[in-house]
Amino acid sequence: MKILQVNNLVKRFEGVVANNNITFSIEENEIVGLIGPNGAGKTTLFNCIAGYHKPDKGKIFFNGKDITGWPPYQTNVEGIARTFQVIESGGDMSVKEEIMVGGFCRTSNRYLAMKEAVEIIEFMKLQDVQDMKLTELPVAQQKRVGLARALATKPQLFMLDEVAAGLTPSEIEEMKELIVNIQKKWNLTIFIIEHVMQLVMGISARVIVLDGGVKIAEGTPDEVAHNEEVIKAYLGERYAKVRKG
Amino acid sequence: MEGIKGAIKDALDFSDFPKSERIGIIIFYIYLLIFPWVVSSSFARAVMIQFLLFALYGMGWNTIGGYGGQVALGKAQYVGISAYTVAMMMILFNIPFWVSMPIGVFLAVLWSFMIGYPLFRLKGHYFAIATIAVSLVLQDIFRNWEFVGGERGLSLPFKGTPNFLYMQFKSDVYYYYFMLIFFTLGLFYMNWFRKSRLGYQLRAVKANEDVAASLGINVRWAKIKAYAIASAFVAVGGAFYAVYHMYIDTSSVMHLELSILIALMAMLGGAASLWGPIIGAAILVPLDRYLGSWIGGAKGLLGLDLIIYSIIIMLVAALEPRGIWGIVEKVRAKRG
Repeated sequence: MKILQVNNLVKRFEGVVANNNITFSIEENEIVGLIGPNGAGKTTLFNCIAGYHKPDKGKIFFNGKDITGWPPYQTNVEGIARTFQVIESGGDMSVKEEIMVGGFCRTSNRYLAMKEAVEIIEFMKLQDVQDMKLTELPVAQQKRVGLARALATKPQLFMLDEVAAGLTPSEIEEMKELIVNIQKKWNLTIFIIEHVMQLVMGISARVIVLDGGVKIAEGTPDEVAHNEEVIKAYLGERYAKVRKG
Repeated sequence: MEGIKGAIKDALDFSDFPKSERIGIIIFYIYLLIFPWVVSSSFARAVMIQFLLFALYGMGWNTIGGYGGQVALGKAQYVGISAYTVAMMMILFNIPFWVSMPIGVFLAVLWSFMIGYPLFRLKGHYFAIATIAVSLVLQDIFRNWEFVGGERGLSLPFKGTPNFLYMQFKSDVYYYYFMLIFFTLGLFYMNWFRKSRLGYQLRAVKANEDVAASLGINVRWAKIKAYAIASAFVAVGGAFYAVYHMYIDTSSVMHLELSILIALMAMLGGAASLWGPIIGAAILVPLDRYLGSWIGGAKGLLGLDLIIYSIIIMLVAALEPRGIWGIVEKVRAKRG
């Protein structure tokens, strides 16, 4: 069953077309990658789906329901959670409290929210840092907290925006494993923006490629890696020609 | 039922504070309980009543200003709405305090929704300025509105004999204990509030609104709710003010200085902490009253209290933005 369907999505910013006529869909329990050079419109697409931007044209369906233009908190309540590229500081809250805020999305009972937070903290191996503040943690841990608090809202569709940026190669491997485990444990659908090919090509069943706001390719990681348009977008036209011989 | 039981348990549970602090709090509370028996000076009692009143105001402000991080500087208008409601209802219809107070609180909360809804489109400084503006306009309306006394203000009719229904007593001890009850209920409410869903959500809103929205929080609605709770708190205080002083005018219950003082107390003591507003009020109210009576009245020194306030604001902002409670927490963290 299709969990997400995006039809002819257009988003303009003062003359710049950030997303131009994008159409794609995501099946339930799939891991789908979204790649493309800087400025390709990946985060804009995320923001449109999660409700941070209102699309100028096009429709977004989640579980068959039209959620086009819904505000972010409503898309979250509906079952879409997202993380942010830069994990913003949590003010005066401890890691545990941040994750509890996510839990409060589904319950007003503090003990339930706490119980869920404890479960997620254990799964994410954040026990040692749960009483610290987000700003006191190294990047890799911050990313984990970002994942944890979004997971606490019990999403069906989990959208990750560059979770591997700024991580060391070994941390990237750990993150890769973690994402696969998260997907298995909660039976989620995962949609992931990533520049780190090691990660996104390793775990995605399908990859969508954007360039200049347009979808230029879609397919298995292998298909996409050999797609001429994609090579052109990443390495320039000349390289594509040379390669062709 | 489970929910109510859990809420009461949370309200009465202070166990997340270290033992030494809890003992300090109990000693302080016992002192509050026996205060009128220890000190008989009516001036000191008046200062103490004002301390409790401002602590209540500050606790209310702390919901939106401390936990929610929205610097609201128009709280005096809600003090005023409820004080005027209580006064007018007694003057016109002879309605007792215990009936008019809930109505005053209700009207203040209603007004806070009407104001909060458009105002929370604004953020940061713009929001703060807008709250000041609305409050000033309302004060001007009341000052020029003959029906509610205009410039002259309102005097509440004197009943002659001590009367519980109208909250008129011979001795200020009664006022003291009633205020202590309001203060205690307010404290328990805040102790619940900081652990509640809205309490957590507001702190998330304060940290980052975009992240908060991604966690299913309707940011604007959360702010409006907290603003209404804050208004209800100060409205209870305002109703009490009317029957305690038996005279109100716009400069005593609606003035900008009152709004700023309310926010200042919470910030000095420590915004977004349970004890902050109480500490702030415990320092600023006596300072205000004793300075006012000793120096403020002397020629040439008028306004000295204002200078001291501004110095306090600067010191708090420069040294420890989390206020005095922030220093306590730092010391606590250092000890282990």
